[in-house]
Amino acid sequence: MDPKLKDILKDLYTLDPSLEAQEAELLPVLEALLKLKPETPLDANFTAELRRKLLTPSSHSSSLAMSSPAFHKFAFAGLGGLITLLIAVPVTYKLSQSSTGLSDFSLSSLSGLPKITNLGQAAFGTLSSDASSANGALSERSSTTVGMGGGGTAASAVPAPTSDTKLMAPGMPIDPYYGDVIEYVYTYKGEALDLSGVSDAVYKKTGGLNIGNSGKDLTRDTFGPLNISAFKGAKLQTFNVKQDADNGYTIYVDPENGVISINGNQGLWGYSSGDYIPLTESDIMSNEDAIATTNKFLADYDIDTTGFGAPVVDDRGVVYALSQPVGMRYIPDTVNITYPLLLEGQPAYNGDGSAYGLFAMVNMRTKAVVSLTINVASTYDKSSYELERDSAEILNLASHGGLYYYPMEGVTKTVEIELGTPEVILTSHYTYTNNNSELLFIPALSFPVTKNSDTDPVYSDHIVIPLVQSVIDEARAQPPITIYNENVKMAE
Amino acid sequence: MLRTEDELIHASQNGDRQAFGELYDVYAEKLYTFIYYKTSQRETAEDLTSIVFMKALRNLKKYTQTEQGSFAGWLYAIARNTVIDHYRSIRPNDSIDDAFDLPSHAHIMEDTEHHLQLEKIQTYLKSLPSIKRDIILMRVWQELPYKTIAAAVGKTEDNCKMMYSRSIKELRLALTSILILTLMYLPHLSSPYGS
Repeated sequence: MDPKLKDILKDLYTLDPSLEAQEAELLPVLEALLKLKPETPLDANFTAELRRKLLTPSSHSSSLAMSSPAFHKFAFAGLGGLITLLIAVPVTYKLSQSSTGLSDFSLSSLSGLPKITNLGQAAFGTLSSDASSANGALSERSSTTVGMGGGGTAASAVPAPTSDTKLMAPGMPIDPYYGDVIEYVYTYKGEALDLSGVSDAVYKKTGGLNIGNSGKDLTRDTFGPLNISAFKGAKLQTFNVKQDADNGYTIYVDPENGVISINGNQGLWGYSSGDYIPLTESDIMSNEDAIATTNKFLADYDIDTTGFGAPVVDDRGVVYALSQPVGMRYIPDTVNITYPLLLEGQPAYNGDGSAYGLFAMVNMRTKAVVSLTINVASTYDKSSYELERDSAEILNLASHGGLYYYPMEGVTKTVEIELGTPEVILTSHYTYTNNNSELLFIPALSFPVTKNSDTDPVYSDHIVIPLVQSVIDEARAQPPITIYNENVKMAE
Repeated sequence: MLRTEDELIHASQNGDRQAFGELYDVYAEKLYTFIYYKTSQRETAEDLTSIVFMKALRNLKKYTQTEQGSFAGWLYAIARNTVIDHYRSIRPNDSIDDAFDLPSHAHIMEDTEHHLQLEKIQTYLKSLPSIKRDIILMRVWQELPYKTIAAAVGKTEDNCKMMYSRSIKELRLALTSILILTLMYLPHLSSPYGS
């Protein structure tokens, strides 16, 4: 008998001994229940993106890398020139030390330029996030396309903004069970928008990491009683290698999905279970030191960053901690640095405005890089799409705090947020086909939050508005989702 | 690095997002799975999972084990209520708590490959109140401890144990005839008594 079935039966007999006499009838019921358990297609990209969003604290970010005037200014003409550049995304990581037991296995062949193939106009379909609506049947999608932005609604429900009027908009989902129901007021304070020069190129990630013949070499090997080459056509999918040292690293490589993850072993974290002592203010690293530490790590391990933009420091956890009363402060051990992926010169970001690309965590306790994740792909397809170029409409969407938003019921508090001049970026966008997600980068404007609330800050420090017309249209077709429901309680 | 769950919760309540990230790593798949069971639609499950974690983050400072029970149970409670919110918002005039309560012809948005499977599960579980259904899903499919289940559904552990055993009994009685038909269409269930 299946051990799991045994456990279930044992559990039931403990609860009700009389059931033991009915085992013959219980067994098929339980067996069917177990066999009918659905497979749950959890998408790794979804979990990774949600994690990244959740780990982005409320506001107050510091973006050293944005010091470049090209990124600060709303300079579309300059970006047009950049688009002609073909930027490499080479990643070289050499495992030349023999302690891994895979000393012959070199990842030096990870280097390479991303090949971008231009497919012409609208080659990826409607860019609907749902395959079922790929032919334009947008209304067939689930009524709760919430993601991190919230449920969509008809843009026409909100009046177009004028230059001197405050833009009323609901905010992110607010605690439905406690406290105030907050409505955020977004006011645009930036320069006049001119969208005429924005590139209409959309990029789709099509290939993972090119590891050359390294994978094939490995699959020719024999491991103990197992001769992998006997399994014809077997390909290397993922692998881990670990340095056998407290201060070493464990490296995870997923060539198919184009992800390299390097994580520090126990010693690099500076404490073990049971002896954790929170950091003090004097332990906090400057952003310059955090970047220098990361750059040294990248140089020491031959990790090439020429395909990535200037580093962006995310020290919001530290800033938030310092904003708390003394005695209530909990200074995080790590500060995050991201080098955004560049696609034909344009930086790539996640939907919440955080950078996408090479992500590092520096431990302020040990002054060491404790985690490094590199998102890299060897091939992209490119296609042009119609963009929304009406600045009034874009500001209207920004006034909601994003393309999607949550209509709130019973608003008890209004909080004012100010937005500054946006930057043109590429933002991640996922489509789903046959239960597989595809990652695209689409043109977008990223509005920085220039004035946030100290007491009730908005979740993200940037409001990102995708510019692709079909994506905006799909959001408009979504009925709104109501988050606040006072009829449902936490516990009965 | 190796902080206990209580330490991670405490750190998260004091603004340590990395600690919350570690809690997320532990619970993301579990909660997504639970929500998927109750919605049978991947995108809806992803959307609602996002909402659950954002609610958790927002309310983390107010969480206490004394009042809300185990942390896992607290998260599952949020997940249950979020699913109920979802269905009540899209079907405000119906008493619907999850996808099991939907009439079978309303599943136009479900993943096709799971459609038949869901119908069979519905046949088994449809007759039960959603709270009993959830207890079965959490216990049989997710193998959660009763302490967590109790916190999730807002009952005592003893109450949950009683409801679980009674529900299985009821299932056994209700499904004897249906089971025969089900087994006919599931060739991999070669023996009604298992291996």
